Amino acid sequence: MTDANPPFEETMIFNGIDGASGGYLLPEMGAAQVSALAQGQSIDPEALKELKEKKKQLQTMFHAGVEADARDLAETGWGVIFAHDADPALREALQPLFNLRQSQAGGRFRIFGEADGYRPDESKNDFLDRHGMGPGPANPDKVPYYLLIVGDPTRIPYRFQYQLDVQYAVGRLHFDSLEDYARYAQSVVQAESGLALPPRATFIGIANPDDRATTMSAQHLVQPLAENVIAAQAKWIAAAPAANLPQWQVETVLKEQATKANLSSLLNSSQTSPLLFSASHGIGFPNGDPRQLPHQGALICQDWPGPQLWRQPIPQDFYLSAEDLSDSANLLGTVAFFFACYGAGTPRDDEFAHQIWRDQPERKTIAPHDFVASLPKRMLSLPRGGALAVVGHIERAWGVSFFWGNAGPQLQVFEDCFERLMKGNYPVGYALEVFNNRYAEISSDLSDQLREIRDFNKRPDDTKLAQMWTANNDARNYVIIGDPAVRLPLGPTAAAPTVRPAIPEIATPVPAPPSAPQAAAISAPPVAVSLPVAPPAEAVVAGGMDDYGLMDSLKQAQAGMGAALQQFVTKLGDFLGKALDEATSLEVSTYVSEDMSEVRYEGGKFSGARLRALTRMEIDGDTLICIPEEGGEVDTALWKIHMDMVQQAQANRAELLKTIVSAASGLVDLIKPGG
Amino acid sequence: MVVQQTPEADLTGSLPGVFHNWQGIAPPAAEGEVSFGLETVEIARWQMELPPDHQAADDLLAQSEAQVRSTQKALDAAPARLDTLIASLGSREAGPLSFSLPSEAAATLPPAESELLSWLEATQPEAVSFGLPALPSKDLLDAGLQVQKALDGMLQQVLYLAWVETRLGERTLARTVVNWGGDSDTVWSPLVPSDELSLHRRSLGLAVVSRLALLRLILTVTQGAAKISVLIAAPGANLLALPAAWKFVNRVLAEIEAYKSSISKAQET
Repeated sequence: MTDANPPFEETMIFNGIDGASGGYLLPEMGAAQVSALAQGQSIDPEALKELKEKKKQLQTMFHAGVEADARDLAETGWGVIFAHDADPALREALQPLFNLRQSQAGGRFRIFGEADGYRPDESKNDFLDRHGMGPGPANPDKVPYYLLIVGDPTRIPYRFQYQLDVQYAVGRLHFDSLEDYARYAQSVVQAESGLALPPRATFIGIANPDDRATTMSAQHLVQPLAENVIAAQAKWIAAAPAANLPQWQVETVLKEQATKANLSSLLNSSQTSPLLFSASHGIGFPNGDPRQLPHQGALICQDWPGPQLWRQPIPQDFYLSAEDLSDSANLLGTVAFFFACYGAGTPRDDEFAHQIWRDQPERKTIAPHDFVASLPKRMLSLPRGGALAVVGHIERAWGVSFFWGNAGPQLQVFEDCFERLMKGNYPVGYALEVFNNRYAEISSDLSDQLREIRDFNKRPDDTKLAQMWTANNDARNYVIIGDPAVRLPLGPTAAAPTVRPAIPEIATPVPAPPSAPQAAAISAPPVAVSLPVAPPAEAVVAGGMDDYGLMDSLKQAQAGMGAALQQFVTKLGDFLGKALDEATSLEVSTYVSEDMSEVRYEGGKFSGARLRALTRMEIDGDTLICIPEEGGEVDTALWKIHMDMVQQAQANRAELLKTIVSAASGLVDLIKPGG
Repeated sequence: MVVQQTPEADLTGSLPGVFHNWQGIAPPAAEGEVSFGLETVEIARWQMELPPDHQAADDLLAQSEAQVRSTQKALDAAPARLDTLIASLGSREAGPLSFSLPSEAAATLPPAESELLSWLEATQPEAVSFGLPALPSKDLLDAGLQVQKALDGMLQQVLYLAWVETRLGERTLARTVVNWGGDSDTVWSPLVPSDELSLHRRSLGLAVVSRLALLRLILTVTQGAAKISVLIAAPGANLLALPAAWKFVNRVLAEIEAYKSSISKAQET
């Protein structure tokens, strides 16, 4: 690791990891490529006007005309936006949250539902227009500053969220079941009902070997950010000793410490810090891969040995996904910030790569539909208590978020965001305003540059233009999953134990709301078998011992093998065939012996021991079971032992068959012509 | 401690970590003739010796299970890395191959790849006249034969019935004989308390997956040799490539295990 600033190109490689192949999701791009892309890009004039307006406001208050305290919902207002045809049960599930916000926002509480709700293909300006607002800063009497979008991004698109987020503080909720909505509402209510967590923050920095992106984020983002936050805190406290500011305890989990086991236990522990920040690769999968919906955006941990040592699919052991959070986990009162590709969600269409390759006129479809990442959804809807919010990225996250050309590391935006959360105890939506400001500033500057190139034939500076274009997209895609008005529920001292009560059990049997199709959670990737003639392992197991020509193929291929290894490979092939023959039935016997030293194994069975139970299962399903008795009664204890062994034998055989198919496939590949 | 027979040819020192705990012991002759029908069948004995303390026994099993899982994953890594390396070298049909990479590229290669390239470079016989390839040296052929013999021994080992025995301190909890199809005969001591039953089931599971891992190791090396052999312009290339493949695969496994071990150690400190 070096302290020298990395070249600009290194900021262009934070592309996530393809879980299916183990490679990067995108090839590295040079500045010229990205610059060309930027020059072919047009920015919506309406959006540009809004962004320029926002840029002007940066010099004044967070929203002009209203000298509001961002912490006081009575001044800022709070509203929720449903799709116009949303299931009414959603509103019912979230009612406890609405009651709370109404009590805080009073007359500035709004529900935009049914006729007032979001309509298909509506732009931000169209939506605001219907509610008496033009572009510009929020007027909470018309449209509140804090806005919670409820629903799936296929119904209320990310595009709308990005645009609205420029002037408003916007978050989104989308869950797969009404129970999850209800749990989230209960969690927020409970967190704002006297919960006082010790002010602790955990900064997690993964740095996988030979991987420039995570090496850079650990070195130039996580570590210095944690250090700067500690240093800043000393200044806050010295500047206002009477203000009784929370005394934060900041810990770092870096590199070798940032394993999946550690992160998993960190998130499953009742002592989890209320404020979490992590920088890592997020995992991605090809469109249609069954792992995409449940796992995309999961955090790749230190366990991934990096691109040099690991060149094949990424196993689940290397990344932290929603499935790693147990039902007993409790993240009540937690706010997490994941700097990772797809950490908050994925759009259906690629927003970066499609234009790099000019032979692809259409945006590349990278997912069956827009979706929110499963990890934040799970964190927010845990049965014992969910997190308040997760901040993350839709699409890919880029190094330009924290590193700017020759200027080097740029942490001010992150530091300002954390200062708002940690010192001022501002709502998350307001803390994230600094990212929106950055987006507005960069967008505005970018459009000026592009205009000069197009209209005045100014020669483009590829490096600067590429940097600005990428930074523009990157800054836009930070989103909040959760209510943007949530605040960290902090006690005065970090030394106090963390006590998180459980939320009430959500017992109402509520059906799932209509939603885009979701893939069932899976625990393992499908077995990939490249055997030309053999079926996949599952087919062998299910279909009996027809080897589908597997052994014939092997025998034919052996003929082409060089003499030196032929005998050995033949032996392997014979063995595999024999193993398949032996698998036509499964027999499990259980014996008991008072004197284990007298036990012999002869003629395929034990002597010196009593046979007490036998199960024989034929491949056609015929099953013979001999039940042990003791005094005319079934010996239930022994029977249980026996059945456990039967179950294990079945599992062993399935594993064996999988290995045999894989092995045979390898042998065929090995000895076929050209193999 | 897991005890297991190991093949005669001495490659056990360079076996992956998961197999290191196994020590060669005699077959269970003292316990009677092992036969299967009319045919005498070889049997491989896998003995799990657990400490008498239940927590310590559980920890040892958990550690062994984690190690096997890790080795299985690492076995996935070797073929992909070899394929990548070979693809980067191009095809021999396109002309003589060069195994010297630019220094910048070579510096970023993991040791397994670097060593294999060095070996390939050193192994290429010098061209001789009349278009006939030079014969490989006797040392190279001997090394190939030695590895082949060792692999053969390991395969025999894998082919045996597995006799899995679990001992907790001085007590034998149970024995299972399991064939390749999964048929199993288990004899239990009636004195085994219910909370110790799972210890033998886990030992059995561990032995079965370890056996599969050994089979995969053999296969991975054999496949690797075939792939490497296409880069060698000498008669008997398959045989010559065996030691290189053995070394490459084991080096990859060691690198990945070392990485895993380094992060485990860092967590302990």
